[in-house]
Amino acid sequence: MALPVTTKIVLALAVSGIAVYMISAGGSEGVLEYIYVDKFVDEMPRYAGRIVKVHGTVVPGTVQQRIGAAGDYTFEVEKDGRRLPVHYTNMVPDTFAEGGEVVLTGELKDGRFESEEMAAKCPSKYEEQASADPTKPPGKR
Amino acid sequence: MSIALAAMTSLLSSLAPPLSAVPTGALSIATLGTATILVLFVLSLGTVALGAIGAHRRSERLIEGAVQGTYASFGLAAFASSLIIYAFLSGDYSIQYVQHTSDAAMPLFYKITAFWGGLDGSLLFWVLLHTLFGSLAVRANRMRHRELIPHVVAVLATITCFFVGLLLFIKDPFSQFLLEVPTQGKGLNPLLQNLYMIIHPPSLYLGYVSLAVPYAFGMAALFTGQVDAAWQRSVRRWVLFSWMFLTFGLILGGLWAYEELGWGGYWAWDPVENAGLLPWFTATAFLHSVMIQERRGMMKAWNLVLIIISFLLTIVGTFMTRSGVVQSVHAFGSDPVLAWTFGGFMLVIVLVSFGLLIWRLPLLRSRGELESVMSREFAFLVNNWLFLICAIFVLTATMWPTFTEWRMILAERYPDWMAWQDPGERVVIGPPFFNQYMRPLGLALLLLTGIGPLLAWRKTSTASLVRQFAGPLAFGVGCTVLPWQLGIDSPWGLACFGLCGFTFWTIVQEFYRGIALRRKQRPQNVLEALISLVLRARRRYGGYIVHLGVVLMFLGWAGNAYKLEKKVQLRPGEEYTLGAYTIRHEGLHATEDWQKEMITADLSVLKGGEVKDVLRPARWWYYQLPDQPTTEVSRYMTPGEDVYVSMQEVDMTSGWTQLSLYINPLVNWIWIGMAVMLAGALVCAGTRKSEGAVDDA
Amino acid sequence: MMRDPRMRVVLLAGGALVTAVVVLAILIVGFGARLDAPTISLAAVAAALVYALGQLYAMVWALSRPDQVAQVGQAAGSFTQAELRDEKRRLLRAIKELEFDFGMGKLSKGDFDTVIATYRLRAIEVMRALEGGATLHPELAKLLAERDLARNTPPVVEMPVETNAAPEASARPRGPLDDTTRICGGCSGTNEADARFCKFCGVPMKKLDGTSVAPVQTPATGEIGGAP
Repeated sequence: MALPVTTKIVLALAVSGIAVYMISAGGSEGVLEYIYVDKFVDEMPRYAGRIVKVHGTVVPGTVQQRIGAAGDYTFEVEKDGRRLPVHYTNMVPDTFAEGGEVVLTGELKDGRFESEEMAAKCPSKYEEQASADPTKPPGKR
Repeated sequence: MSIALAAMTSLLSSLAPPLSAVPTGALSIATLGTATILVLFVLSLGTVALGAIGAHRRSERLIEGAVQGTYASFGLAAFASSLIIYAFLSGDYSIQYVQHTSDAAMPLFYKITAFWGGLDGSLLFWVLLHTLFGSLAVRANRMRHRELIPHVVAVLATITCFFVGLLLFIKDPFSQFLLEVPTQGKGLNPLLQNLYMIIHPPSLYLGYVSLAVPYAFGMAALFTGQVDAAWQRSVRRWVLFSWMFLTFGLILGGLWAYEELGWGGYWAWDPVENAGLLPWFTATAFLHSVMIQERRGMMKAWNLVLIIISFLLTIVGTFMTRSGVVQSVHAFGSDPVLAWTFGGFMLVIVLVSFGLLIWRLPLLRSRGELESVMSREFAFLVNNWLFLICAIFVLTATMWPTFTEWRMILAERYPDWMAWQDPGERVVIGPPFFNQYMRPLGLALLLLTGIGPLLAWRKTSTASLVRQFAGPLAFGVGCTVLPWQLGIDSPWGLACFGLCGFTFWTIVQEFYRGIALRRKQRPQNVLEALISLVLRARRRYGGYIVHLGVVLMFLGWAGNAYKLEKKVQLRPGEEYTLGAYTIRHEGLHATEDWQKEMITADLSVLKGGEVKDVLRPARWWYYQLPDQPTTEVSRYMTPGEDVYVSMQEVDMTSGWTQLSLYINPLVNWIWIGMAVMLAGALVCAGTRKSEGAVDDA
Repeated sequence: MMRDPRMRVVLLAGGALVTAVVVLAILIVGFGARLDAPTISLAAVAAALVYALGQLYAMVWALSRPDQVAQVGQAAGSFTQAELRDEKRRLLRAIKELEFDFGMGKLSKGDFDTVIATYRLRAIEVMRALEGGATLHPELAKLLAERDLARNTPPVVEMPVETNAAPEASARPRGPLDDTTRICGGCSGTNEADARFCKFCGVPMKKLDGTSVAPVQTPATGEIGGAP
């Protein structure tokens, strides 16, 4: 490059500055830990106070919905025998069903998992099964 | 020909009556199909050998044989494809693939498109497209690039070998049920039976597969040492073609999600979405960077790197969606064998391609030099870097959850080795993370879109800088201040508006000055001048139109800065106010048709007391899938915003309706922007290469 | 008939189409099938088979022809003409573009004059090379000679004409006039200056009345212009 030395120095500084800023500006916002219910229940104190994603199966018979509110459910999820009570304050996706797998985003509060975001996969016979995760489109390529 | 006909007749007599599903004897569709794939595999291997040896020995005979082999591969792939389509149409459920993805009641059109709906078929579809494009490319360039052709053929045939090998050894679409042969099909999920499903995957496939051709030419250039100029000339159109289909496929996918899913958004940074975006980044960079090589003989190595990476990313994308390595609802499912095979192939590509590049590095020295930061060359260099960084970032972030999972697995299996660090958890990376980094990157690219075309080659004088940028700067500032005064206070949103204004003004300015210059040269009215201007320099002005489309898309994204969202529960007669609109529940009604039961809500949309539209969100229960109701979105579209409603739970007896309400400002500019981008690309693609044609950018 | 590529395509495509129609007729008339989608697709299968078989046959036929050395002249020599033409196009384009840019105010007069002079000179050289040794206008010859002598280092925008040894070329002032070799207009192979027939492709060499051009490409680099 036939650029003068000063220009090269300025460029180098600018690039490093931007790089450092971008990396350090965090971005922990979108990065969430993803834990299965059994591990979550076993190591509950570890996850206190953090927003995490929890994956488990909805226990049949435990789903209760508060009528009159725009989405207020309590139920339990389990995996390998460990159960976790959940309080979910949003509308459930189309594929939410007892016995189905769900991934909940939220945090522990007073021994209950408070969540406002859910992705649900329904056990299905079609291999191209789409889950109606509000953040993920179904579809096939 | 007569022999062929005789063979046909005997073939048909075993296949045809009664055109039913039962395979007759050994010569069934399935065995014929598998045999074809076997022959195709052997043929591809032979073509590679012929091409390589022919090039080495300069034997016209062998090279011609290789070229014919390429055409023959397409013939065989077409035959295999026609067989599988026939199997779908005639309902041959002895073939597993057909049985899994279709049934007798499916409409004809969907039976045909089920060909590429599942994994095995999609690989065969890939082979079909790949051999088709290979044949077209070879035929078009047979005479023009005689030295490169043998190598091009060899590279393309190697890729064919890989995919056909997959079909032959791992995922045979013709594999049959060995024991119980079902007489009925499973059918396709009705959710997937819509127009988008027909267009979106093939469009993306067209975009992906066509990148193999430029890659093959690049490799041929490296093999032969003819790294200057020639290989790109033919290749530019292919990359443009690929770019157009990738753009169309990606944005159509977003529109599909937006219209069908009810979460008010159109892009979730899902791994499969990202897989399509990655080659788009590098292909766009390539399309720009080749201009520098043509003009000043610079960035030769960059261009080869970009084309290698683009092709590699198409394979990575295929790998991600088929191997189960990355979790996604789009993905076909988990398949470790496929994962390892693809991984091996990718490794070979990297080693061979970059090895060749390093070997030929001395030839790739620039003929020109970068003379100033205020030059178009520098702008393009920054452009290349930005796109590359975007691609690397998206790829890393997409693969990161998988890396954390591998780390956990390794920690479990080899606790001693990994004891030095906490295995941590598997993480999931969601949209906020992506958006945080892609926003500044995207805005930087938008800025560059405005600055680049206005900079001169080599060095722009200060006077020129002022003349070029005074207007756009002023307009850009105006476009930042105005929304701010209107109440938008998100810094990213304001920056986006400002940059949209800036870049928009640069494009308008270019057209204006070009027309003025043209009219000075000869007397014409404005429209004539515009048309002749565009036709005279198609690549340049086509490019400007594409940039205009990009600006419109960014305008659509800027709207996110002030979008509104609310989940409510209403009964008939109640209303809710969101932003400038009031939604009034007018009632529910239940209907049904041959496929499904439906509950629809009627909602009036009022603005300023006046009813603008009636929205009809619905829930459908397909008889085929009683546990899986679907949400039907309803929206009121204006240039300024969308009023978007989807329905969750509904109770006919009490009338309680759970609704998600969204006001999405400016979102329709995204779709408009896409159309403008594609129109501009078509203008670019029409560039004539005749002698003395003044087409350039 | 197999020789001509266009005839080949027509033959294969036509043959496939004909087969489809014939098979369709046979199915409907002979086997009593209805004219519906499966029937049509079966006819398509037949067509595809004919095409594939025909194409395979074409491949075998191509391999059975007597062997010839591929028409490439020297290592990369056959592209000389094509490359030169491309170069000429590129240069003309660049010149037009520069004039346009200048008109749009993106270049200063000084920059414009300098850069366009280089392009113009180069374009002249390329066009001269393409015409295979037409006489140089004396004024232009003087201009070129002056420019060569004045230049010590190679220009950023390089000349397309260069002798074999790439590193040494940069030291010597490059004269475009070299009487020792000629390029054949047909296959662009390098022949002696007094050759009457091209030793590669056999076509008669055009009569010359003056200068000729040195080989344009070095086998090693395959690059027009070589390396500085």
